[in-house]
Amino acid sequence: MTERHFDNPPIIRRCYGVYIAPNDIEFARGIEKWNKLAPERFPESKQNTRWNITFVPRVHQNPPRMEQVPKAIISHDYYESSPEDCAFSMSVKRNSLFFHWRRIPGQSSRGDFDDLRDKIDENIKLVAGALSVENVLGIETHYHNRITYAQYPKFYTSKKSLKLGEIIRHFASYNFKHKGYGPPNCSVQIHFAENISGNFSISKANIPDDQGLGINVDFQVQYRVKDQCPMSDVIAKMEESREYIHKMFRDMFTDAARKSFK
Amino acid sequence: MTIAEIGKLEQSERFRPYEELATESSKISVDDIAGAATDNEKESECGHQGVDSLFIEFIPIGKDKYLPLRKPLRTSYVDPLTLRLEDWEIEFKVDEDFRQLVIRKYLDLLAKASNGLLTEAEEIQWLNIIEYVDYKEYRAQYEQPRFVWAEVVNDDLAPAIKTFDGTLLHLLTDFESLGFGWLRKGDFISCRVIFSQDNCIEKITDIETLPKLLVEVASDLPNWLKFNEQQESQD
Repeated sequence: MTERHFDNPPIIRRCYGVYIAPNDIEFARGIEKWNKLAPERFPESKQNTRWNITFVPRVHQNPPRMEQVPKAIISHDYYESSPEDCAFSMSVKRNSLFFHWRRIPGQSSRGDFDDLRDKIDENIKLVAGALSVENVLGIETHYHNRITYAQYPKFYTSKKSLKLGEIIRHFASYNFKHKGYGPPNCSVQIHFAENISGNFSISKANIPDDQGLGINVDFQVQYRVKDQCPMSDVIAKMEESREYIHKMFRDMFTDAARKSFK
Repeated sequence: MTIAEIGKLEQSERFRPYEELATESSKISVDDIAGAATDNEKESECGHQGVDSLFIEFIPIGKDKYLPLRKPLRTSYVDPLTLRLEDWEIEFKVDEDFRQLVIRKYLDLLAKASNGLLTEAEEIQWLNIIEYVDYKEYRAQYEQPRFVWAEVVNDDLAPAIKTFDGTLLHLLTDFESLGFGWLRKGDFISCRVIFSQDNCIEKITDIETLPKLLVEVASDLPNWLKFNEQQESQD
């Protein structure tokens, strides 16, 4: 329990989401309906378009080229305040509904699930009601952590030389002394239980050069629903997912790292 | 974009958080295509900041023909299921493959423009659209290649070949990137070329080196024929 309350946590973003499958008409009508209700809770909103591109080889051409087949995704995004400095926001897409919390420098909110539970529960029911969705197909939780020189200088020999072995347990078992961390990315898929899988990944953070080397440590848990899960069970499943993330957190970070987060 | 670059994108895909991973892992977002897959972009994805522009290099027309694009396509929101392609005045459903609509619009306006049939409104639209398409590259697909013999020369500007009538033709790219890095100055080659409008080589294919003897013979054919006749009469 105490482990969850760090004074200097590496967390920069938490996301809680569900996958849904409304039909086109329900979605179009529902989103209009929700747009009328949303300003009360989310004064700012906008529609963003994102593109997924699938590469398909075209063998008949000389020289051969990769065909780029684009697919648009409209994201309806809702913010509690202006998008630039908003800690809590919501994103509704054709097949998903996600809540995002991000750490805003200078704000004290931890964004822990305990603090967000009520908000998520309330909004998820309202949106689901507007979209006429009763069941979800999956639940996903994502915690995005970042280690930087500014926040954890004790793990650095210099701004650009990180002693990764002192932070991540799985890099600590080498017999050699760590000198620094290069930027290779890695990702580990984890099987927790039937229908519950996880993902742990490390990647180089894109921060300005003068801030030195930073790394992202991401934890993700996906709860695949076998049949269909009623909306009323979502919060319980999210809590369960969060427990798995905490387990990963405890397992992946060394004792020394967790101590420095306190 | 090279295969290696695409490989990198696929790798970066593995680190993209949540939402897309749950749909189709083979898909790559345009954030990644921008080349970076940087954390800021990943973050912006996390933060659901969208990109309202899409850069694709070309749109297939059919067979080997394609519409080469040189500017990102921009969209705006119409309703929960519909987007609008700015400048093109095309509205499309989110699930629809809008590329065929782009092709149709371009070919339609191109045909009208070539025959001077554009209305005033279409003319304005056409002026916006032509900014998006690399016409030179598009046109080159319909040009017939010409067979030439030439000498490889390099002047100060760019790699070039000099045909037997003395015309200097510059390449828009170097031989190395075409896979002919082994060609040296002074080599004689036969090839098929498609010229661009400003007399550069838009496309060069079927390059083969010519033996020097053959070139000498070809460049002084009357004397060679005379020499051959003499030889035959002596025999």
